[in-house]
Amino acid sequence: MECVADCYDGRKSEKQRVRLNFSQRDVVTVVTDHGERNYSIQEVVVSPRLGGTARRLEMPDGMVCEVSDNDAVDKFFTLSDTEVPGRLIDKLESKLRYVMIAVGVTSLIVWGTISYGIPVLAKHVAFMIPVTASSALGGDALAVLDQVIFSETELGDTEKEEAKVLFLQVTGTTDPEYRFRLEFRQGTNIGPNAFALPTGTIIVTDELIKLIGDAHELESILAHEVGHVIYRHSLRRIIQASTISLVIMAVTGDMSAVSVLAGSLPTLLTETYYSREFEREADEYAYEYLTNNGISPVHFTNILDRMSNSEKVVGFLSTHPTAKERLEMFSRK
Amino acid sequence: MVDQLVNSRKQELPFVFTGSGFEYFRIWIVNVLLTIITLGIYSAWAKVRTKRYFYRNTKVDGSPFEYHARPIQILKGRLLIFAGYVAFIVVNQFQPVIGGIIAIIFVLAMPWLIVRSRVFTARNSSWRNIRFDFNEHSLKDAVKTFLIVPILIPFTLGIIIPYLSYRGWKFSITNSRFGRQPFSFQSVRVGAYYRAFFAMVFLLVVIVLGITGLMAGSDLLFRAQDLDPRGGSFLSLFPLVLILFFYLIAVPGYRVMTRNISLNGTTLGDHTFESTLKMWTVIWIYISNGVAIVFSIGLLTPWARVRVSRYLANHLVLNTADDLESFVQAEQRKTSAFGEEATDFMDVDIGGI
Repeated sequence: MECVADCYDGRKSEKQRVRLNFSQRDVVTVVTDHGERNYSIQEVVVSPRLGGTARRLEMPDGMVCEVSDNDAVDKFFTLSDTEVPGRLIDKLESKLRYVMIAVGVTSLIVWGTISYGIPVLAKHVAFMIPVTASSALGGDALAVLDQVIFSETELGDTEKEEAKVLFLQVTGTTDPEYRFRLEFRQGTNIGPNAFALPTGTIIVTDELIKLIGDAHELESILAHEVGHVIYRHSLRRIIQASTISLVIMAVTGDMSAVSVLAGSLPTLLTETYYSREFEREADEYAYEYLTNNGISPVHFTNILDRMSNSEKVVGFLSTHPTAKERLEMFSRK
Repeated sequence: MVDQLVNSRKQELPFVFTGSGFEYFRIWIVNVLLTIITLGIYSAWAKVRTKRYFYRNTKVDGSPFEYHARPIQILKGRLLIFAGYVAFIVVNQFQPVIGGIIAIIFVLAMPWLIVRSRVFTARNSSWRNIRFDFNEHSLKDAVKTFLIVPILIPFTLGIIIPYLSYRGWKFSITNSRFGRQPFSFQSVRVGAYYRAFFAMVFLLVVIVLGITGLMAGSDLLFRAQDLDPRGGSFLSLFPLVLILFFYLIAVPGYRVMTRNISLNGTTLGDHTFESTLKMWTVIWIYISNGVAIVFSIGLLTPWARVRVSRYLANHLVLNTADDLESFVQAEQRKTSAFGEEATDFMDVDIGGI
């Protein structure tokens, strides 16, 4: 058995065409124009197979032979009962079947991490951080929102007072560590809507107040927003987003500017998925509050229904479960 | 006859990349899976396998490059960095002052880490069984280039950036050796980097002004027709447009131009290099790669990487003055992977594209 190789002696960058002769058992013979040299197979270090790249045989005197005929090398070493390193990995890489399995298993693990692992982790971490620290996250969020979205409220004092009484009822049973506060703003572009900031500040828009038909409806919306704060959704969103970008970086293994941009789309998609989960949790909080106080959950679905009929709440709904889904969830209970 | 002999020694030898996207995909997916299953331990083996695949498939004059680092070295470096990072997080939690001091020390140590990283990479790279090397005693140069000049960036409003690029490339090239033969970087002038820099600034300004004009125009049009005056203005997208064009065009464009300038001024003995990257082609490759990676949920990452390597190799030529057989091996020394892994971890990539 014989094959050609490129040979470099390790002293000068000279390339020599040689033949490798494997006909003697346990001996590699390098045949040059000038003569032959024998090496015992135990002394020869053979590199693991790597795709279709040339194999390197390192000789004890520092000489290296590059052989393109990978099969010949494997056969010779196997015949000599000498182990060739990295066979298992090469088998995984070269058999299409194993590659498909690897794709499947990897996707499954990544999917599981994203939909279960990260949310559970974020939840645990978020609840380990004291309320005071997590509410510091809010900072000047309201000031920014006032500049970008809201204008000053035009509600009358009686409307405000009524809402505040309801708010006290909803927040009355919560831990005083949460510093809940109610704010009114005109929503303009965003129409009838409500927001919760991690500081415990809850903002309702004038348009929402106008849309309310029954006091219990406002109560249910307030309970939903309080649910966001109690379950620390802002903090969890931050933890989840940063973990997910870590996962993406680990898998694609590239951190150039473009891949960061490329990574932002999946992050955005998962964020939508995660915020739907958060909405469900807040809904559940509202549901519990309503049933505990003997209020029918139908008030919540009524107001959601009316909000979704108002044309300007697209932004609110895209990250929320559809009103239909929510109605189903409530009627199941 | 004599003419022919002289001609045959002077050659234009193109770099060639022979890897394929699908072949690398198989290696990549097995690497990813084993890395996940082993909770990251395998990543050291994965790194070596990946580097070897790309080195061996890059050839010049018919001979491939080789990467020699052993996975265990890389693993040790990684574990050390990881342990240090965890310790830092814990200390920072309870003693923020000490944490801050550690962070500052780390920044101050950056030049040293960069030198160690270059030494590690160079000593573990070879061509035709002759090793590369990097000057260990380049710390003074590194401190100036990677600590002092960068500190000046804010004070000079960024005008010093082209000078920094020049120094960065000069540092990388003049401290490198192939066997006993050092690389040199002589005919390059700082002015060329400034021309590239201002060309990119100019391009960015033109593009951004054009798009801003378009947006303002559409705003006016919508206002005039009274179409949803409260629906937000296009002009509010201005910061987004600026960031997008900065990252997608100005940054890669500048890197392509400085890479061409630097490599075209690099010599190895009497041999010279010629880099002919086209700015818009590279930008197109980057953007389309990004899109492909997103829409394939990451599965086209290997294809994208192969595509970049192929383009970079195919646009680099070695102009030889003589045959390439007379490089001589220098005495070999070993080094640890600590600097390499530290800079890897901090995503420090200087002079790269």
